[in-house]
Amino acid sequence: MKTNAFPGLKSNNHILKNNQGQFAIESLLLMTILIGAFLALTNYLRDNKLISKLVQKPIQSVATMAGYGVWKSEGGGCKVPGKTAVSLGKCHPNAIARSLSSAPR
Amino acid sequence: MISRSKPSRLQNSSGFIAADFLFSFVMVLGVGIFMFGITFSLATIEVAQYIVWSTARNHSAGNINAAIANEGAKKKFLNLTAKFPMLTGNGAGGREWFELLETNLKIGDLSVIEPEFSSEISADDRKNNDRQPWTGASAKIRLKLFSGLQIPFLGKVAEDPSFFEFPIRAFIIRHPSQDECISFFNDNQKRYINGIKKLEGDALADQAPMSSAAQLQGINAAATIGEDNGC
Repeated sequence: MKTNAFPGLKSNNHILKNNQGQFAIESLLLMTILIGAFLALTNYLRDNKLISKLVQKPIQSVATMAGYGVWKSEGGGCKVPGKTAVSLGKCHPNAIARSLSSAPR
Repeated sequence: MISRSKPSRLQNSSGFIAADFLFSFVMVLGVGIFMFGITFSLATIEVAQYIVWSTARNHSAGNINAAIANEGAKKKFLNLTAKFPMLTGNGAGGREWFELLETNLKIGDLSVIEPEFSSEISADDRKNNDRQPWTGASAKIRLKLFSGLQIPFLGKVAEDPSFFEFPIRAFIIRHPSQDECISFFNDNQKRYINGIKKLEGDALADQAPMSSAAQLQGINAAATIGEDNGC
């Protein structure tokens, strides 16, 4: 009767040497790590209001265009040529600074 | 002969695709909702811009007087908003996705009647009555749909809903109204006596020149002067 390829080697059926179930444990470990990382990431995004920040700026640009006729934002972005930052109303295409070609101000 | 034993329950991976599908489904749904919200909002802003522009265009016609012109423009606004109840709230019974209400509608010289706007323009512009650059209409749109969105795992789209409510303005220089025209024509008869009557009484202006015609000496005045009654 053939029992073992190496007669000196002990049999591999001891409970501590049984590797059945290793995949299950490793998959649980991986799943825990991955879900943990995913939850940490989404929690970070939620805490920092990333989606809100992602949306607010473009919507604000659209709002400025709809109300004041310019894509630029209030303060800093809106400038009259050769001058410092001005209010949104002064950047409107109808404003005297932008619409008078004969005597621009 | 190779014998294959039946895999144990722990080795069975047949449910993996279900979990993967559920996860992807939630993610795709979230992104889909977001994309729908933003594209629908942008399209609605276009519709709202047309409505406000059309209101301003109606007002620009002048009509009989300023009050009637305002009423006509307001009627135009109400008629158009009623065509899009879900986008404007006019007739939606509170189920609307966006708001463009008559209560926030302003028609006329926005540099005078809309403090939020007049504070933004320069004093030069406010006094610039000859050009009437700020005559038109203004209404506030509220993106209720988009500001109320909550994406799975990522949270609310709008932390500050005030970002999603803003004015839409349209400017069109208006024509003189009938009343203004008649008033101008009948202003102590000056317009008629000094202008039209002289032209009517004389074949050519250079034969009985008006005060301003003196400036036209040396020019073919007959071909230059073309006075009308302003109406």
